[in-house]
Amino acid sequence: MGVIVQYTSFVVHPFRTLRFLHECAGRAGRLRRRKVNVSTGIGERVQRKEDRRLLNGQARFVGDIRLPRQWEAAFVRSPVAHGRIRAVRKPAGAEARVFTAADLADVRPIRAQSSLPSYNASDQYPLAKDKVRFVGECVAICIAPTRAEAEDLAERVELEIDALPAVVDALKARQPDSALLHEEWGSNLFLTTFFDGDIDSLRKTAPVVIEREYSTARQCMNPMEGKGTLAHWDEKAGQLVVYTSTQVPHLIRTGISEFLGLDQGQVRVIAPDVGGGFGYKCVLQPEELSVSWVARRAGRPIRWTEDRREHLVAGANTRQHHYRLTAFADTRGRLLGIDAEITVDVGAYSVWPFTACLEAAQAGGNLPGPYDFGIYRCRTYSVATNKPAFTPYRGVARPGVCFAMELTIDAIARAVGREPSEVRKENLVPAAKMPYTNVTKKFYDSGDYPESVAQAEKAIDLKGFRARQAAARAEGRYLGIGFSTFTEQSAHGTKVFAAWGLPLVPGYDQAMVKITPSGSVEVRSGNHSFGQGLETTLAQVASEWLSVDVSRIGVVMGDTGVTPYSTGAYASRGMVMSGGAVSKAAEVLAGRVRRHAAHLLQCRAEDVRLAEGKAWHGAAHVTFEDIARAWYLRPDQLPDDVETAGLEVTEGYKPDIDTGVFTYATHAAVVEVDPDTGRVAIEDYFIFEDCGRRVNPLILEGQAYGGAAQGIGTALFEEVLYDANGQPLTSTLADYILPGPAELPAFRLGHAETLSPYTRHGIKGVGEGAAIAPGGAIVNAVNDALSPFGVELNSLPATPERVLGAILKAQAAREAAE
Amino acid sequence: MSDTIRLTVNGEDCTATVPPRAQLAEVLRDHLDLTGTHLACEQGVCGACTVMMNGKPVRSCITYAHACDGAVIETIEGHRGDPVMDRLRDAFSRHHALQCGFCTPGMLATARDIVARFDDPDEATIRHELSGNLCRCTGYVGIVAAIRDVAGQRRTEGGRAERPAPAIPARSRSFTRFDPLPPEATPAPAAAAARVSDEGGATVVRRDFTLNHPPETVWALFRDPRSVAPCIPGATLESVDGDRFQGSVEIRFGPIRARFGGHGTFRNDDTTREGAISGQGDDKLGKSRVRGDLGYAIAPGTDAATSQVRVELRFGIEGMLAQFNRPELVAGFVDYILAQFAANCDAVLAGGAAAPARRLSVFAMLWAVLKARLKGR
Amino acid sequence: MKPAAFEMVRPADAPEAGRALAAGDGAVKVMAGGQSLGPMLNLRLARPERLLDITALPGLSDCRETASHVEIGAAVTHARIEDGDCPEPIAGMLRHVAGGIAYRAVRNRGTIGGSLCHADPAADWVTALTALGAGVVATDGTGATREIPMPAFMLGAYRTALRPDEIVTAIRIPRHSPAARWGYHKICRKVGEFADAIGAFVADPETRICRAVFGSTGGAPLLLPDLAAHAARTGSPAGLTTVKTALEHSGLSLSAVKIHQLAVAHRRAVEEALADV
Repeated sequence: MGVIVQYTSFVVHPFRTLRFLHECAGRAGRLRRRKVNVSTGIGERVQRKEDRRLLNGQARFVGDIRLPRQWEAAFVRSPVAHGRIRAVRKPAGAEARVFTAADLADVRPIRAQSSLPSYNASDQYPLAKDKVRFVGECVAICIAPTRAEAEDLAERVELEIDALPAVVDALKARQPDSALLHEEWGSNLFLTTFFDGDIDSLRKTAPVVIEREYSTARQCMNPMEGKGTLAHWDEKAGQLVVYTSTQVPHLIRTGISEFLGLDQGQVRVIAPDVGGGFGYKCVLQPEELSVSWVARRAGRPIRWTEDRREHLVAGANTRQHHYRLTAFADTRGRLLGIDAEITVDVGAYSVWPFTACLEAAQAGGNLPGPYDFGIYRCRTYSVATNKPAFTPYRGVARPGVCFAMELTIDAIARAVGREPSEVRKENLVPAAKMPYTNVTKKFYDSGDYPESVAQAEKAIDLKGFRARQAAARAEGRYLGIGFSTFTEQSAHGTKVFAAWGLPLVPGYDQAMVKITPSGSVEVRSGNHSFGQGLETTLAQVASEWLSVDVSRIGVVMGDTGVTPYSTGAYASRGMVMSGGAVSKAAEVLAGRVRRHAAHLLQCRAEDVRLAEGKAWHGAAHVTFEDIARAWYLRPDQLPDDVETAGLEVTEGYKPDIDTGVFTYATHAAVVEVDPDTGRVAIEDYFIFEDCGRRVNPLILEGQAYGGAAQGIGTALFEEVLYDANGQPLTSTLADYILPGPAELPAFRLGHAETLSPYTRHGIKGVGEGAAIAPGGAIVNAVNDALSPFGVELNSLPATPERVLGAILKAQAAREAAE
Repeated sequence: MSDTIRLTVNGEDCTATVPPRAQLAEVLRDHLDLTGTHLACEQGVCGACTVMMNGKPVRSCITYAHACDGAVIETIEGHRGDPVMDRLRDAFSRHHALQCGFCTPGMLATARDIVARFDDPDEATIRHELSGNLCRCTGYVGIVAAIRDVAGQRRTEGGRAERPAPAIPARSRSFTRFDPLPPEATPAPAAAAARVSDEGGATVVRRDFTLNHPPETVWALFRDPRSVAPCIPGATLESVDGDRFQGSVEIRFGPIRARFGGHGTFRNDDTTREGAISGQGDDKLGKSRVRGDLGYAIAPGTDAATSQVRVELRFGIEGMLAQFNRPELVAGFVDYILAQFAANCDAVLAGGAAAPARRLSVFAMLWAVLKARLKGR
Repeated sequence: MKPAAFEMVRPADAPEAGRALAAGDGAVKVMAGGQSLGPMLNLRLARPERLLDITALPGLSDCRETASHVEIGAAVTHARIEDGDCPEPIAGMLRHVAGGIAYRAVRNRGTIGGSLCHADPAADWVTALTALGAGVVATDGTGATREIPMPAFMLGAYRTALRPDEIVTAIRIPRHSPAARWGYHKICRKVGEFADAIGAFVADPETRICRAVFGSTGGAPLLLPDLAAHAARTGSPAGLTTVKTALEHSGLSLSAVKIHQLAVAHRRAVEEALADV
């Protein structure tokens, strides 16, 4: 095991100036960054391979596929939040084109079992059977030649439902007198978890005690392409073929086979181009089961395409948390301990495979975040309500816990009269303590958290800002600054998932890399890309070992029929896990290429060097085409004892320490609040992030901007509203506001590159991170801006109505006091 | 109108035989196999379906096939021979202006239009002009940069926007304060007279009005569902059996129409002259459900010939009609219905008939309400 | 999300459209661009049996100018007005208002007449044209024409004074003097979205006419002449408290936040109009 030079470079986009370099000990000499003459390997700003088809209208999403005899489906969905189904009446004459729970009697309900004690499992029938438990729950599926005709049919299905009291508020749902969603449980609790630290001692001694309630709104993830599924039974293959818009094709195959009772060999799942996912498409959807079942029954291809209304009603399934939090600190604001009660409104059912409890389990485990303190007590409640089933969304639980924690840090700073970012830096785990095991036993592998705050302070000019802020206030303008720091556990491994009690435990990933007969390269991964550019970055990883330009590396993903098993794209695992598997396979393949080349070049394999897509021995070379031609077409040119393993390698990968690697970042926002309208304008937004080795900076910047944009949606705009009967009031994009280009800032970005000691190439996961921090950064900035009004907002989103309401209330209170 | 329409799409003449309800996007995708145009909201908001129609970007989800008979359409598959679009595509890739790419076809259409209309758009202009196109992946950074890049390239080459809008004229230079003329006498719109509140999941609208008839006459009208039902706009009473009834209410609100069929009960107290009708009904097609209670109390007015009527409508809607976040519209509508109700009562009591809901003269109705109110004062 | 089936008809002229409308007894709707109706059709909230596409009717896409008025055809798109394709009754205001409606792709099809007849309280034209003292020209099934002054046109959310056989053919806007000033301020959460509050203010020293209009009140736009007079006389808006009190006594049922937003929109509209006064 060798020692390599590991570097950390701080680069501020767009100038990309090298700020400083430092050295520290690393390991694994074989992974040293090699000086090779490739232009498309790891670290290069390669333009994406997938762009061309998307820019020319030649991509293929589920909605674009048309098979012979294909019909379209529309669902009849529950108009009430909670009710007992008395009857579902099919329209006369159309009985054969409408299917209900009674027809799907042989389909097993979706049941996501968990091994955690006290967990209550729910049974979700793909078409509601006895009860409906949220507005938008599927009750019947109707098929017709066109979607419009299928909707005509769906209108004619009559529902007789006896309404039951709707459970809308998760805190009230915990009360013993609440109506129950699943009567057999005797409560509405999916799960309760605990961390028990000795917080009572602090209560007596801590000089600073901060008590707050925080809440975050329910959201819809709103990928631009909704869900969509097209299924047909392929008689020749004896397979159900399911094209579906998913992040996790292999998991969907497992799920469909489990709940439809088919052998996995009888199911092939193909994810074509996927128009965004963000978590929404990482679980088995009841619609996927219904469509698959109906396609087989009807004997023709059936497609269902989720429309925006269905999404905004039946897909309102994420982010809603409530916190009661007490923080204990010393007089300088140094955190001593946290006592928290977290209630997650998880909706009616437990999704497969991630369950209704992943969110709260992660919230409890991640609340301490990047902070260094010793005493922690936390109770989490995963509460069933009459809303769609909670699904993990970009950042999973952390946008909530980060919001709660970051507002608490600022509240402590105000209480002790110090600059919040100073208090923040002092509380973060210092670089000297890395690797660090925190109060919830999370193992932070590497990084310099306080430095990320320092970099953000510098980039956003904290000192200069305070002067500007004072001058603006004198003019009646209200500027504020806010910081928010987080760690994100990415690429969680087997131990982590096992601890969460999931019905299946992801951990490994596999990939195949081969040289084609013409010398180009083909990579196959069972993971899938819904916009993250994996086709490009996986090719870059292969290019790193094989020196072949990415334009000659094809990447096949998303089809369970032709790719090795992968649990798919979630948990910021793609680059670490699938990238690691491609790297391992490509490394093995590079060795074989060198051995074949050595024969053709008549030298020793150790002396063969791969560069520019060729194998070199000194100045002599053979091309990959020469090598491939010899193996595939002219094996007579190779020796008798030729290595028969060939030019095709499948390898599996699991990081050496598989408790996850920790990305971190600090976001800093400068806002101006218009106290007359409550409108928050973002004047400047800076992100400083460290995600280890950056495989493709262009793509990573895009992930940061896009994640932050979604986080700003969480912070300022997005909110599913319900009335007291559980009716969602935001069923159009005119009611549910997504941030557009005019609402978002021109983000600025800086990077550190602290390589993980435990993953191939030092890569850490990055896809989700940037969505985590904006809520904290922006609301801290809003509260900073509004401090002259004595206003403190503690709930998301900070809509103009909420901000203005708080200002008016504070004014009224002041006037009443005067 | 024939079901066959003619279009020129990406330079080719085509015909499509489609029902009038077909969206332009459906014609392109399902009939012409041009699946590059994406439907993402069908509510006219997200912009993914934007295509060029007669050289201008339009929403193909809310443009119906027969409204574009004869039009020239350019989709993402087209724009052949347009160097600006070639540059935009290239710039989109260089600036990483797309991730999942689902919004990209609409983004490019709008981007093309921005470059056509602005010589040298700054970042704020681009962001503003682009605001009808939603992207969930990129945070718009690369998109804005790509458009600036292409406009900038043209500028360096001395090119100009193809069809820039003329500049907005400046305001007058000076302004003299003045004493205004008295305002024109215009009929002021009837202000809402009702009080609206949200109580335990139900919307409650309360309204008081005066009828120019003695309480006993008014009560006689109210206590009999057969006589009061015709006064409820859109209501039809189908049967009465004891204290139970069956009927329906048709609601028309702008372009919205719903017909709730249902049943209910009523009760009256002849001594206090108070009563209530409770009912619930379903709109079968729209899968909406309404539950409501109409309470009423009749008291003597300022003189023996008039009555003071207090009505309280408490209702909850479930299903599609409930799922919009503009409560003020519903409240305003219900208030209007109650005003109609009052006017109808007045008309029936005066020996006439309730205005049929379908041919309601709104002016007459308003006048009746105003008259009733004025007399009550 | 596909519409329920409907027929599409293109009437030959306005009276024919009026007759078809009346004969439909509510089952027939006019489509003059369809940018508000379209989403309602797709959502199946609106379920007309027949749509009358009036965008190609003779004269409906014309703009004219007389000595006293500017007349804009009902089927003129917002984008044409935004681009200065119509004469201006007051320098720049129509273009400013048009440019703020929804998004360009919507403005390319949405029409001024369609927007007025849809009568959404949060829409722009009902408020802006009230401030300009415009009149709505309606033609009925017999071809008879009348002009309805804006304050009498919109009666409430989605309700207008149009008779069952009337369609709007044009909007007549009095020409203001070159000395006239205007301000139009819209408060909304997101560019292109429904307004939470609109303030419109127009003042013409030569004709001594001024109007202050509040839009997005949940119903028809609200004219408050006293506030307009205050601004014309003093060159600045009335105090926020005064404006709020006036709104509280307007008879409209408005929340405290809404009243505040409307008052602020009014103040900003007046300030925009009279920035240098």
